[in-house]
Amino acid sequence: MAIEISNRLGLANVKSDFIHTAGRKLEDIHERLLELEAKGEVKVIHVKEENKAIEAETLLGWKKKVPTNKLWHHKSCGQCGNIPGYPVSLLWFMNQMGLEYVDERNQTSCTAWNYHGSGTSNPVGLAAVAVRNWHRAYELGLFPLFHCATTFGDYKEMRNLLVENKELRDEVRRIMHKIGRELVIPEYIVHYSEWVHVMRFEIAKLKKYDLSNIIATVHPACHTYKMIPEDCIYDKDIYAGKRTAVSTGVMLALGAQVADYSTWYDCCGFGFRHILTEREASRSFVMDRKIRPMVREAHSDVCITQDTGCTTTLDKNQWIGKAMGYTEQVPVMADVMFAALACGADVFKIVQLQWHTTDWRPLCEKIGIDWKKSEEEYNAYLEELKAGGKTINLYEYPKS
Amino acid sequence: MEYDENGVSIVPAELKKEIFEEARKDFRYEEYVRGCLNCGVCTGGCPPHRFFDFSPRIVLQKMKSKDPELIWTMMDEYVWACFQCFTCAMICPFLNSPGGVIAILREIAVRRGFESAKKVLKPYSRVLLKLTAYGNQLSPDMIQPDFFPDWGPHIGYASTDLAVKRKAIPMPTLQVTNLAWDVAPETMKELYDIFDEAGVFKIIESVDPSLYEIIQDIVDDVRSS
Amino acid sequence: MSENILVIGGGPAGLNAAVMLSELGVNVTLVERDSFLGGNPKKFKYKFLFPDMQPADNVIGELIKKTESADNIKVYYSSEVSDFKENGKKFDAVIKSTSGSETKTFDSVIVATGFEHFDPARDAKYSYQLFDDVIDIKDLERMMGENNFVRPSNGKPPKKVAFILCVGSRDRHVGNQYCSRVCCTVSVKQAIEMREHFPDCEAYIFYMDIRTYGFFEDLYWKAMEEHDVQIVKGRIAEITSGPDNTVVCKGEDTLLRGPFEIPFDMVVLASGMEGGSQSPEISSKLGIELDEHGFLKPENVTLSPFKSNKPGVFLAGACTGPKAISDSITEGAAAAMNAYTYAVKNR
Repeated sequence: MAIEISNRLGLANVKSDFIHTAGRKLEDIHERLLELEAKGEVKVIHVKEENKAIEAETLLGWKKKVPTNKLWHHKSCGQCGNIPGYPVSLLWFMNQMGLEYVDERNQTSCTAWNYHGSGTSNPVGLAAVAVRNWHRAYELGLFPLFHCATTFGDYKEMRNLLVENKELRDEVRRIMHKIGRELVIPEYIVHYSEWVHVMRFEIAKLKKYDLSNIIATVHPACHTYKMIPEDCIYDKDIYAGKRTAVSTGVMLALGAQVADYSTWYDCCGFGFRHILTEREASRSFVMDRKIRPMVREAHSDVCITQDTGCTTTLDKNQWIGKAMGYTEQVPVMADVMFAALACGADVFKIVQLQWHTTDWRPLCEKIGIDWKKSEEEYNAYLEELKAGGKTINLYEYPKS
Repeated sequence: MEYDENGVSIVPAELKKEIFEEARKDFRYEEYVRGCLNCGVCTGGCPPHRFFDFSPRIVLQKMKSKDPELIWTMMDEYVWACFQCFTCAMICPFLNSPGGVIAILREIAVRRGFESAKKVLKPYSRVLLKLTAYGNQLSPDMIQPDFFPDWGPHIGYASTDLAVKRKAIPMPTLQVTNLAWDVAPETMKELYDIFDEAGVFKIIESVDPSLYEIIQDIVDDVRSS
Repeated sequence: MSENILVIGGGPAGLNAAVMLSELGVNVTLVERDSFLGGNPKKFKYKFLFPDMQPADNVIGELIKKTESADNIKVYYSSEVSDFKENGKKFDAVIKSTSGSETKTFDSVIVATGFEHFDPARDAKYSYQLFDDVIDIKDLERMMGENNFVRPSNGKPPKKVAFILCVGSRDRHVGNQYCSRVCCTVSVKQAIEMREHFPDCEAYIFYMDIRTYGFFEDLYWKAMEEHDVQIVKGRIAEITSGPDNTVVCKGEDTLLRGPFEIPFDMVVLASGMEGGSQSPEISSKLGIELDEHGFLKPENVTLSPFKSNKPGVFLAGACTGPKAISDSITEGAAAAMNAYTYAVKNR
């Protein structure tokens, strides 16, 4: 039936009866991977019973099993130094739910910065780095969960290249043997936002605040849904199945309003190279193509992201916009960070918004979160730590 | 490289041909370059097209032309304008990947140590260093007002009491200041072996020899630890 | 004794085949899956037909009238061929309808099972089903036919409408690399129709190539010169929400403007034609070949486009590929001639 899209609200809630089907003549990499395994060509990290997987549907109607337990955290190299509340919020949820995971020092960046940013890598190098990290999860008997969208995109691509090219497999296997590892490939490449998506109703059960007056705009990360798009989650009850469902799904489950804006499909302006070497391009892009439409068209209270680079770029570049007369501002945070706030996680100790540049305090006040109290407690905590106090950790890794 | 009176590089036709052949021989090429009917979908959705002289449709058309002269025109600034967002690859009705072609061409420019590549990657060296020498990237101590003045005064938040602020993060892996997370030396050594075997160090040497020296010093230190 | 010929499908091709055979004195059995005759033009209430804008009812209605009034055409509505066997040079078919099953022997068979409109919901980038004001050519044809040309979102008349060509055609994402042949002309026709009846409403057509082949090109010129239809070369990349409840079409004007983002009140998708689910069904039931595009495969696409690979089974209309109504009617006659010849030879 007709839906009034006034103010662009309600669009995310449009449902359809549509069932996705694979029109595109694409090989199902998952099937081919299992064939290679049967031939003894590769080892596969399978989704096991203990991973408590929840099934989701992808763009082409394929089923993707998203493991929710016994996970190996593959952290993001752009996230941990800069947006620490991002991984912390995720671990916080897993603790709330009593799920098992490992977060350790034996992990490298996917190094895809050197792929997309500078061209200072090659497919053999990228694939070998991917397999090294996958193998680490494999030897611990865990399923890897990737925090970064670029890692997610790169690893999907590397998995496809490895499945399709024997020469690449042989070369990577040779390198793995050199470092005492094996050629393993996970059955599914899973992004943390997919974990959040399939767990969204569990997350919503922990909700502490009414969010019905919060208008969110979602910025989907290019490397989650534009690279290997057939492997991304679409849901017929979210945007009628026409746009990727992750991030929007959890916002709806939490009872927030999600508004559309005219530049939804645009990237954030990060550009890999540009954010470092042509910063004015990134800045203009952020303000012209993302922040301004989000605020002017959608009256957004918060911009919800699902990746490292987007969160950084969209958050950090609003301040300089003022110099050019761009007065629009909107706080930026990842879906899992907003969800943690909504579920009562501490603004400073867990969500760590103090590192963010664009003012997020009005958002907290609108939700009803007492950030001042949280700030006082945090400052006192810092003093304790300075005096030699011990950190209250969410997780203690096994010292190796 | 030689230059004419207008400062334009004089490049022999042979080299241009070689570069095209090098791109075409890449094992990803066949998958990235198929047919193109100039429908404009890729460029219509291309984010940098709105800010730069860059069009994925033109990238594809130039590759399809098989004209080394036309392909050469993209090897300097042009390839570096792409955002690598892969919007073009997602929406091309014929399953081309102009963004993928750009990745191939950039790798060639870097491997061959083009001046334009060196210039464009100069401000990138800090990230390149962290990534290659430590398997990591944006470390907390890199986020300083000197480097990011346009990110506003709040960037200074990371300048004071950084160690204790990092210590307050309830994830042990993150309680460091010189790395995004604390990567184990044994893990770094594995990464170096991979970079040696895959020729990644060699690529960096060709585009930034002095950075390569610094990286190798770190690599030697870690390896001997 | 007269020949018995089975015609499967009561659209333009099947109807004309039945009428021609009936005039030759053949006993025709017409099996139609719907409860009415006329095929897609009737089902989706096509109003005017290109190139001369004559009312669709003048054409389809005429064929239906002739069929219904012929003594030697037996029409089975809401029916299907549930079983099919060769019997020497003849064929035994079980016709299943609401009144039960009946087995009959036929001298030859004409398959005219037609096409299905591409469902634009299958291609996520067009946001069909997401925005109410994104419709397709069959939806518009029905709106025009019912004199109800308004924006589905608010019931108000649109002031600016975009037509997007090649939806579900020439697109590997949905598995259809072929051109659907008629959508360009249908869209140009619809734009003219819209401009004639609603002169305040602007019309834009976004195209990759305009394939108003042959004399259909007259319509293309007419749209440009007499009806001021804006024709822009560039396929649409994205559809999002725009100001004042509009939908924004984004793309590259590959010839003139470069990147554009234009808000519209309504977007009409020129959905192409597909073999539909009936093509593989009839292919396996009758033992005739299916081609790589999902349509039925003629024995020789140039020499005998109306013959299947099975002697005695003939093909007519859009079941062998996208085509205009006039072509389907022509093929109905050609298949009738061939089916009749086969029947007489093997009597």
